Amino acid sequence: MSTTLERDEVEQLYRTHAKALVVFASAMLGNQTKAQDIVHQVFLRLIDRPVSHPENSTAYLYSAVRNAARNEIRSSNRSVELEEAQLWFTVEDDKHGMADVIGERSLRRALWGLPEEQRQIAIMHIWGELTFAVISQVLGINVNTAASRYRYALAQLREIMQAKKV
Amino acid sequence: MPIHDDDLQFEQELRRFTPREVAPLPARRSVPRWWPAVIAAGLLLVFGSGLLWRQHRGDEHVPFSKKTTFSTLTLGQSQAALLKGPSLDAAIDELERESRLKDKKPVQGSQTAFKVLGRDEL
Repeated sequence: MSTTLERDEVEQLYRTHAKALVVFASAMLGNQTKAQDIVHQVFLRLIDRPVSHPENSTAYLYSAVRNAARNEIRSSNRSVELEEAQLWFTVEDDKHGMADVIGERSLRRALWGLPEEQRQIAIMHIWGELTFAVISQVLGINVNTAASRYRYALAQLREIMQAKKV
Repeated sequence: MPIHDDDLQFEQELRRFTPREVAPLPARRSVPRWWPAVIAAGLLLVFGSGLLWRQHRGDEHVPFSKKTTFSTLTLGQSQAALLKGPSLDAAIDELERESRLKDKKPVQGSQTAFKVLGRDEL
């Protein structure tokens, strides 16, 4: 087995994680197009300059995307705002009440309204399906802190979204 | 904070929103726009420093006397050329021709205009 990530492995990781990573980066940058660029950059860098197999490739990818998004924010030197016109989620099912265009927009706004770290934790756990142990690695925080911030995030999301429904 | 059933149910509701499809990974990394400028600057730097280095090396190896042409022109010669020639232009042409001839074989024992001027006898 090779000591570094091969192109095939990187492409497999992309197929598995890219969608959730783009939502994760969108939630930092407020812009889905920029988020996609950032995710592409991270994966292309992995192909161009292979790294040795990370202990946890999911944690590695989320950390890399998080750092790249932070650098982007720093270099653009502008305040980050939510791009309202860009969808983060697919809108396909009208029968489930929340799963419609208005629901998608409400969800985006509700996520955007959360404190940054809670927002990141919520996305990593719900759509990235990362455990709190992995999330704690990405953010460099305690596992219990990650879990408790997630619960706060969830409570706030529910509050905001139910208020919007009324 | 314990996880309630409500939380789990709400989590499931949120998961019904699936992240949008993303564009496939590009085959190659796009070359940044500033890249050609960096290459051009690098080439300029290499050629420029090479040129300077050659010039510098050349200066070190050529003796001072070879770099100067006025050393072969004496006051007497210039005076004679001025008296002999029909005009100033003709005198200059004549001096230039003589100087070229002298450059081919080294002058020995003649006084240069430089030395004469340096003696404070004028």
